[in-house]
Amino acid sequence: MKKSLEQVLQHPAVWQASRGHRPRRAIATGFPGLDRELHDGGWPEAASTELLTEQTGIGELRLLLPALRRKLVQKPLLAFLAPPHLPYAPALMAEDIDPQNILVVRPRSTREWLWSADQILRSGACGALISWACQTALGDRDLRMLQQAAHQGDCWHALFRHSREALHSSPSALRLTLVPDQENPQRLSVNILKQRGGWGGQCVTIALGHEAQRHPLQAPEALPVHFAQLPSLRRRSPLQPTTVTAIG
Amino acid sequence: MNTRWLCLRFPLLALDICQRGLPPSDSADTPLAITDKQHIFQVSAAAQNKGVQEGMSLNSAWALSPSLNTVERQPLREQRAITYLANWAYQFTPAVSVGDHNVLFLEVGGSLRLFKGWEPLRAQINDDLERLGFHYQLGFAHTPKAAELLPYNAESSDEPERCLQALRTLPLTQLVASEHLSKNVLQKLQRVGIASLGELLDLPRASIGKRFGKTLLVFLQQLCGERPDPRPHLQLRPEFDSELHFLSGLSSFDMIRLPITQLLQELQQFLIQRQLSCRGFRWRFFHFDRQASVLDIELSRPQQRWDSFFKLSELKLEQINLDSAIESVQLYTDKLVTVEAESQSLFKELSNTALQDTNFLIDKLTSRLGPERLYRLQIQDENLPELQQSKTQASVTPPRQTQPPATKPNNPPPLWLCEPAQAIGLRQQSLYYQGPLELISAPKRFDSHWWQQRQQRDYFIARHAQGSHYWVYFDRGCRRWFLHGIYG
Repeated sequence: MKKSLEQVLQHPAVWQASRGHRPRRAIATGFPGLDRELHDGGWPEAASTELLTEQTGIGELRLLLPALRRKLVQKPLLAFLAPPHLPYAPALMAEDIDPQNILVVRPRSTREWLWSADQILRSGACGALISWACQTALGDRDLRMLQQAAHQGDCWHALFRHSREALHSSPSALRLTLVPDQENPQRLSVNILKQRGGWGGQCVTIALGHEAQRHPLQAPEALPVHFAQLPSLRRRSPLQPTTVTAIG
Repeated sequence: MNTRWLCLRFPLLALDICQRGLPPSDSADTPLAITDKQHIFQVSAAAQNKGVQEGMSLNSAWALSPSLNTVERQPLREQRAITYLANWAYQFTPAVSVGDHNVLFLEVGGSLRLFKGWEPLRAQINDDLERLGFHYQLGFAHTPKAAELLPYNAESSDEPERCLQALRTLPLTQLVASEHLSKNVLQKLQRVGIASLGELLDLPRASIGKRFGKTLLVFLQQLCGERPDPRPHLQLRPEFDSELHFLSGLSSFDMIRLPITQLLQELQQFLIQRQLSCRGFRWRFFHFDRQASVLDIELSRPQQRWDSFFKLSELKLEQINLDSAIESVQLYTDKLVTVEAESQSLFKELSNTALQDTNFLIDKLTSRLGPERLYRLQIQDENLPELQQSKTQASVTPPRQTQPPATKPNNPPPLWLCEPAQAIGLRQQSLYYQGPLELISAPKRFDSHWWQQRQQRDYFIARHAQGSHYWVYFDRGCRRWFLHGIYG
């Protein structure tokens, strides 16, 4: 009896709180603060990561870029499944990700969405699949299938879902909610809902590293002559003149 | 080099075309007859057992066997089948020619050594034709005409003397049936008491020409190999075309799988023999209601393996409407390329399998979703953001761009682009898109296309009250604000 129990405990899927952490394969997120809070030390490899968010435009994709760059070194193909907008190639290029390595797939229905995700994950051809299921209703069985497929094809699956799904349980290896930071909206606040190998509930605020280049707006009247025709906008913050770049 | 001719006759071609897709048990049970102008033209073994014979009128055949299936003869189909068979025969010799009455002539004198003699060659022909489902008769002799007339048996030989010896007993009436002799000439010959080919060959040649016409003389000389008998060689067309027919029709997807497998295996054999690989193919499914469903399968990289063709075809099968059963299945392709010699380098093996995985994934997705649902992005050298990239086919891997990333501007572009740009309005003197927006960056100007329609835009980063960041611009031409990107 005791021997068989020992065998069960040896199983890689069994975690005992008393034993502490058992390391699994992970991809560093590129944000040391976040890596510290994740028991695996990064995004879990060959598994699903759920990113729950209510809105786009908060740097949700930028959060994944360092890991994607790393993935591209291993396998030169990434897949974007049902992205909410068109990826902007020059911006990806500026982030050192060749847009030609990204396969954009646009399914028409939930069925096609699930089928495509399954095929991409299982194929072993893609290093990572980033999928958007904001309009797609995924059941527990579907998520389990995706998790299984990611495991089989050794593919990192980042899945964007609406934040209301936080109320429901899910078999994904890691679940996070993403919200803009209350104090500094240019930072992203990441709450870990669930993670493998230990307790969830951690909260990290991440600077995505692009706000430093932003400049406050000039007062329309302070702009050079060719900007003078801008319609007047209500001022929100004290404005200081800066240089203007004109291209083309 | 001695010339040796092999003649393949397909006496039941019209029947074989209709039966070869069926499993043997089915074709043995269903009585089938091919009709030609209300008369029985060819009869299957099952129908023969019921007493149906060739040449019978259709009504008497039905009287003998009420369950008889009849199919009207289609010469065009026979022609296509014989072309298909000629292409198949090309594997044995380059000198293949098509004769009248569904006959193929193969000059195999040069190939006998390759096939290690006559018997192994015959065995392979037999195996292949059995698998393809065609009945055939074989003749083997030193001239094409002799090969056509000689039935093959155990004593067959390619020695000219023995061939002619074997031909001597052939009655002249049979020459009329095979249209080598006209009825007129036969009557003349019979009048002088000549009934067999042997008796005719014994006559002095010079007098034959004078008395019975030059045609007969030429025939005899060509038969004995005294006069050349040139045959036009088959001109290979770079295409594959094969078809299977089903009397009772195919009404479920499970039933379709069988002929698809069979045709794809034929395609694979064709590709291997010709050292070709295939970039895509077309399925045509002909329904009983005279409608046709067409499925086009495209491959991102030329391939030879039938099983990957099958997997891709299977994905598209659902698109076929099975309201009306399928009568025949046709596989056609002319998208053939010569096989590239694959590099055998030890170190490239890994990346090759990765590439195969990628190609197979893309082919699968393209088959099911359609090519327009799959793309990659390529950077274009343009000024305006919406023109700076183009969608390219996922299967094409363009040469890598070695464009160094631009120095980080003070107004970095967003990861998402709105397509097309969305007009946004002003509310209480503030930009409004799902809530008020606040501009937080210096403007960046794009001024371009003055040669067409001038575009003057000032781009800003705008922040939503809830924390989202957008890329907006003020178009100085139409004096309006637009949302053009999202900082995802």
